[in-house]
Amino acid sequence: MLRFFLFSYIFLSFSLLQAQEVELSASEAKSFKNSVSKSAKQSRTIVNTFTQLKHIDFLSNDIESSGDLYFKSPNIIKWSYTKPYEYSVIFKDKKLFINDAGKKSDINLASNKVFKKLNDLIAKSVSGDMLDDAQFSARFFKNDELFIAKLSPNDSTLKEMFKEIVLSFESNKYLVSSVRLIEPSGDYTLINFENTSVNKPIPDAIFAH
Amino acid sequence: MRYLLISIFCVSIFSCKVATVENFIETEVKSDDVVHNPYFSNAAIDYVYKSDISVYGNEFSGILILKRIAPQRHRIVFTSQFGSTFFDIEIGNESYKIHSIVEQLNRKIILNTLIKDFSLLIKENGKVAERYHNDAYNVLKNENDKYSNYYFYNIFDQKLDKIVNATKRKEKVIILFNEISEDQVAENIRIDHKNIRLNIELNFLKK
Repeated sequence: MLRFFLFSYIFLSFSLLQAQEVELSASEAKSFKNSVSKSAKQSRTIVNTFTQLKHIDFLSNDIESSGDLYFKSPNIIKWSYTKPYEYSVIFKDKKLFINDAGKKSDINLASNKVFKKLNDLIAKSVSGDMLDDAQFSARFFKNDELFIAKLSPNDSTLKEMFKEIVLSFESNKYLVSSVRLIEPSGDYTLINFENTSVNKPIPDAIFAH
Repeated sequence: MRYLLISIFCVSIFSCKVATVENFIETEVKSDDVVHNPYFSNAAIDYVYKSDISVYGNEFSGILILKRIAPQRHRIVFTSQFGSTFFDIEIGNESYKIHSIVEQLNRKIILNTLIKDFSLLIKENGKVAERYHNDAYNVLKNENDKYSNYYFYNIFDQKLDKIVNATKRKEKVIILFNEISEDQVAENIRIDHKNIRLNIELNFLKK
């Protein structure tokens, strides 16, 4: 009997946990999008640290990497991986500048539509300024701490890469706190942002190649 | 006349022999000889490498993930640093399956090269056709279709240092295994092609 109660309790708590994520009504979604858009417009720069987990179903462990992210409105962005290796990419002036442990190269985004889409996606997801984008079908949810935007790509290039992109926002600041890029297979990349500071000046040298 | 015939015979024999085992001494294959590559054989290990690829002067890098998912069967995934998948291939002894591949890499010549290289890299066991040695190495030759694979085992510690893939006359691919860890992980691997300008360097990512 005790066991039965215990099971019921555990089952119920799980159901409750599941139920905690509720879909926003049309008016709530509208006001959420306005708040994010306002916050994105006010964010001239964003600096934070990130940890990235690549989940592949058949692996025993997720692959973890981490580093610093610098964003300057409207679309200059630098991902600087420091662990487990030194690797940085800067999206700037329609180009992708790569510094692979000192080895430098660049890719012209104008001639590479996959990278261009990826760049737009990343710049917009860091600032959250993608929720009204016609390239995605969006649904919005909330739980105790977060607003959650689930975006399905309509664009065929993005669709091949990602089944769904899930952005989480801290409910009080309307800033992106994590991005989950889910591939058609179900494998995903989860990027968590921490130590976020907004509108802190970024030295030009950070974006120099 | 006899001398001439012998000369021709000798020359033709030596010219057939690939440079790989030149100056090595051939000995009889032992009954328990087996070609073994231990470096991707532990199903409990996620083999995750930073991968630098140089192809005809273009360099790019990513993360190469190898996992033994069943006996003689591996899953091999190559992703960008951001995590987006370039390809996801499953290779078994006689067959392969493509789970996904980006449009840019989905060409027959690229795919064939990838499958051939990775099959060579991960093949765990094989029969021995010939055996050679010198002061530094025991070499076991494994035959595979029209190709021969020469496995170089260091005499000092019996570790597999090198695999050479060759036709009867020419070396095609050389794989070097360096920095072998205690749990049999090759922490640095080089795959060099002799007939095309394609080189791959793999460095194991430690936790």
